[in-house]
Amino acid sequence: MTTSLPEIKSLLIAVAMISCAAFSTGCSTAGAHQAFTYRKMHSNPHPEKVLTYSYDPAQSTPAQPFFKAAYAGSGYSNSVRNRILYELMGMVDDYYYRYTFELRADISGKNIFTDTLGLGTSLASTAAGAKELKTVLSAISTAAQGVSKSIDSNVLLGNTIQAVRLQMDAARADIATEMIKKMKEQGTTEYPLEAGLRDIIRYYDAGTLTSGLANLSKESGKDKANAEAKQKAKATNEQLSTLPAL
Amino acid sequence: MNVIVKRINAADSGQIEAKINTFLGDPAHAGYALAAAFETSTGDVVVIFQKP
Repeated sequence: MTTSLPEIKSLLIAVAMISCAAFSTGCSTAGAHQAFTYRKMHSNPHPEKVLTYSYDPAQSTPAQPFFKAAYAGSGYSNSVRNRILYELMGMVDDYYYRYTFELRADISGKNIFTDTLGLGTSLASTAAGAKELKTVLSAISTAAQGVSKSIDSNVLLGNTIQAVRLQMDAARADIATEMIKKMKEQGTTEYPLEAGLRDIIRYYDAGTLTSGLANLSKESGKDKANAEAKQKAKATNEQLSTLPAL
Repeated sequence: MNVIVKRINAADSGQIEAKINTFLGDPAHAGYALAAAFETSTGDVVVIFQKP
């Protein structure tokens, strides 16, 4: 086998690129935020803002339920309950907007990278003179495209991410509206802080990808059932219209 | 038992009773009685006559 220097260079570049691609695939979740409560507990410099409890070791009672203590200290007032819930909703909103932004950016970045890799190795294969090297490069190119295909599911997700996001927005808006209505109209007997904290968890959950996808599937299922019912009704009407007129 | 199924166009919805009576009054349909009638989603009325 006679392989020229430029051909070896091309091969090395292709190998380096495929290694990077494999690495980036393996790290597909890098940079994504951890779960809301976990992140707040382990990376937030203000642990007193953990969802319900403070784990501040400087306090004499590190496991003090921060929000619940403030709520009890106010004599279970509506306004303190509302302020606590609004603050938590704001934290969830902040997390949600950053989460959806990063989700979109992560998927688009990977797509461009693997497309470039596939294109690069194919071009190198065409330009290489030696038959053996061509085979090697083609094999690498095929492998690279295999990596790309494995990411295609993510790319597909990227194309539908807007639909999922709309679903998440709708679910979050429903819960927020429900919470605000309760906070305005109900006292702490009917809607205590504990119930509000439970709604905060639901509010956070509605903004997760899992929940969004599940809701999207549910809505798609409903749409499908409606479409089938309409089609069936249309077919029935068409059949009835063939009856002889009286 | 004989069954005859007919359709009345939505445009003739004001004449349903007259049309049924005309059908039943026809000697060719002696012995038939109105068994059922329902309106479709397009506004047509399907009428079922039955002779025991």
